[in-house]
Amino acid sequence: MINIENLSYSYPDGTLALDSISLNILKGEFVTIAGKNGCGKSTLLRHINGLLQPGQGSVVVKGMDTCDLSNLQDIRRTAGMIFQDPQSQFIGMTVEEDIAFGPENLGLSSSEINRRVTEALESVGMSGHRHNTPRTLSGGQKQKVALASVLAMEPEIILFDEVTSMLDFSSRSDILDLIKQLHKTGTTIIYVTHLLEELVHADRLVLMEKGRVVQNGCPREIISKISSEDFGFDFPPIIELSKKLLDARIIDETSFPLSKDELLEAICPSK
Amino acid sequence: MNDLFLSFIPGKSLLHRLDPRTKIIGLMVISICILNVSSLETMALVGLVFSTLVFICRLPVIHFIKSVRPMIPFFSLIFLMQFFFTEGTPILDLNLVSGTYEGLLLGGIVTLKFVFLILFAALITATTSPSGLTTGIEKLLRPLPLRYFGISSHDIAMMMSLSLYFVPMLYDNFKDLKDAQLSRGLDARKEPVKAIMSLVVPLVRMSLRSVDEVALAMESRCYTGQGRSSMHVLNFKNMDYGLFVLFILLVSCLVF
Amino acid sequence: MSIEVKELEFFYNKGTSLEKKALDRVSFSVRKGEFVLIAGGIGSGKSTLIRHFNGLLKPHSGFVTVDGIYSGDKNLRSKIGLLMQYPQRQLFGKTVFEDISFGPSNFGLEGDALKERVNEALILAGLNPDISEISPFSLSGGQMRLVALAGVLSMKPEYIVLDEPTSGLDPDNKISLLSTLKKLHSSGISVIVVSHQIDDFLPFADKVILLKKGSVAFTGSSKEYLCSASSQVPVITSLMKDMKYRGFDVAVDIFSVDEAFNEITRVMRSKGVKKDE
Repeated sequence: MINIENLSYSYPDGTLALDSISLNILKGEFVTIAGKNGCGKSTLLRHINGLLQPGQGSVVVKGMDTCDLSNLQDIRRTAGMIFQDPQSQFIGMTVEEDIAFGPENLGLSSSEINRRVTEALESVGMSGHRHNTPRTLSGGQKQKVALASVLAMEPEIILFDEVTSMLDFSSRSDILDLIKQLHKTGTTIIYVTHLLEELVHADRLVLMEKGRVVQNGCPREIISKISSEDFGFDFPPIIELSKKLLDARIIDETSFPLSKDELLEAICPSK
Repeated sequence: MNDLFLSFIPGKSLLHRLDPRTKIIGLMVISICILNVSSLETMALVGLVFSTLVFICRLPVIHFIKSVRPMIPFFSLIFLMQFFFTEGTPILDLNLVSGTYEGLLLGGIVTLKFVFLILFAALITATTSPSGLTTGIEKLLRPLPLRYFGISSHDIAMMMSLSLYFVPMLYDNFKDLKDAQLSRGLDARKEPVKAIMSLVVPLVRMSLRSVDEVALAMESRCYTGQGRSSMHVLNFKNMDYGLFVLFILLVSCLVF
Repeated sequence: MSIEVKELEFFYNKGTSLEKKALDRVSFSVRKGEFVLIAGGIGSGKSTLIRHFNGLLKPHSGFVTVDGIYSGDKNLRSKIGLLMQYPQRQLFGKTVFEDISFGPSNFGLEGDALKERVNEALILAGLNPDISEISPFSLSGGQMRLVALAGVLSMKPEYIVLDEPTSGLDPDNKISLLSTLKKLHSSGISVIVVSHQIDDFLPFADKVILLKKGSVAFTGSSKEYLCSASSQVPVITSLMKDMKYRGFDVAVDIFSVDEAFNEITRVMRSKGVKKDE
């Protein structure tokens, strides 16, 4: 689905942001890209829908090279993107208009746009807010609208750029549930985060450091093997606890727990 | 948000169902009429038309009061200028200047002109969704040869709707910022330049950042400024055609 | 010496049809030197509450006093420092020095005393005093937040109130911010943190106040908070509660990984022994 070949990119000021990255992402995969602020994870994501063009190497999405500017519209239609700040990706005056913005750019007919807006609103559970203005929505609700806006483009891939970092705990888990649902229906998910708590649904973990991919594989295996020094910062509490319990042989490594519920099952399985 | 100046009130009334283009042109026609009114009687007629429209559309009167309220200082100024600086029969004598009967009449009419201009504008924005309004403007602008200036009518419509969105957002940001700097002892009387800088610099930075981010969000949702369609289809109905005939009659009456 | 909040009430759009109660008879006190966590999510009224501490908002009924002075008094603004959410957005100075000196110079400090004060604030915030001549905008997001904190510390507040100080920070920056707060607390400054990320602050808090829909739902120590029925507890506590529910005899007033590890090994070993026999 996505083939990234030897990709390098430098910021306008000359600092190297991405250093010869190669990565293949399959259709229907859920890939989490994690790393510290400034490791290049958001920059990598922006290459996938052509907001940035490679300095060197290539990014090919569904057979379309992002270097070929004539492909850009089709690439962006295939790979939708949701950003970190819920505030500044709102384009319309009302929820409905914001969601219609993408389809309008595609030049779709009015009835088709209406159908898509209605469906997108339903799938994020925001139908009741159709005519509301952004100011009346909470951060979590704004992110749901942002997700609906991307869904209305009917993309095959959705790119999430730290979408929960400005949300509180309950809206965060709402958004993650929605993403999980989307993945089940076959959408390819690429999820950038600095929170390893959010790893549990991913098929694959890509760890980045200073513009390079340092780990790429099954999240459970990677997390159970690396130490927090390798990783660069402290693990979230549940993972740290699981690691200690693994060292003490209280749990075994066949299925390393990544969330509270998994850890609970590992220690005291429900009957 | 609900109390915001010139905001939209969703509904299904007669005015809501009219084509936005009819309403925009209607607003222009009625504005020309209002500006040509010269007697209190005609002004009363304008008032009657307005009240009837508000009544049949069942719009809340309070909304219109709120639309006019922020302009009251401006209206008072205009009224007082006319009242005191029009020559005629004095009815109120203050040593230096005196208010005249003619001034009272003229001031009343001029002020009412402005009040009704605002009220009709509020009537249109209350019954037209912001996107309907921008689509209407976009369609009306389309015949103009804008592309020679390097912009499309979509760009203009987009700019309008973005600014409609940005102003309240900037206002919210400004309030937070003011609170933050006040907490650090901001005192505009002691060092006005520094005080202003402490508010303007962050606000400009925030706006630039927001503009950048919005531009990115627009780009990633395939905006190119061309080939856009609209969720709202604009269709002239019999009602719209009927009104156009009325507009033409009104304007011709004024001209001849 | 304390902050007293008594029967505080505040309404938005008071007197109109859109009137909305934001704070409902809120009462609590903060003693000098305490570390207080005010827990609450969006819509709990926390942003409204903190704006009462230094008189940015005036109560519609009830009152807030700081060391006996009513909160409307402008002199309080140097006594009680307020750091808003995403404070890096409020930076404006050409240099870090210019920005941090804004507060104290508003209160009349000049010359060498001002320089001294800025240096102290930088050190207190855990920053290197050498950065005072560079532009704050060339720093990383986490450092910019610390500069904003130094901008408040430079007024030598006796109380410091922070709104969601860890929001949006990556784990590295979060740790350095938390250690700065711990240092401030041990130097005798009262720290009041308003946050929904309670996991970050429970370990330091002398007192927890839970704010729900504008009123106080709980006041007590961290341990008492963990034993309370609140659904908003750290993930480790939640795990222990679930284990207890499944019939394991573990303590639930725990939030640190080490304590949880000890508890789990203790109960698992005792079970394990049984199994082996």
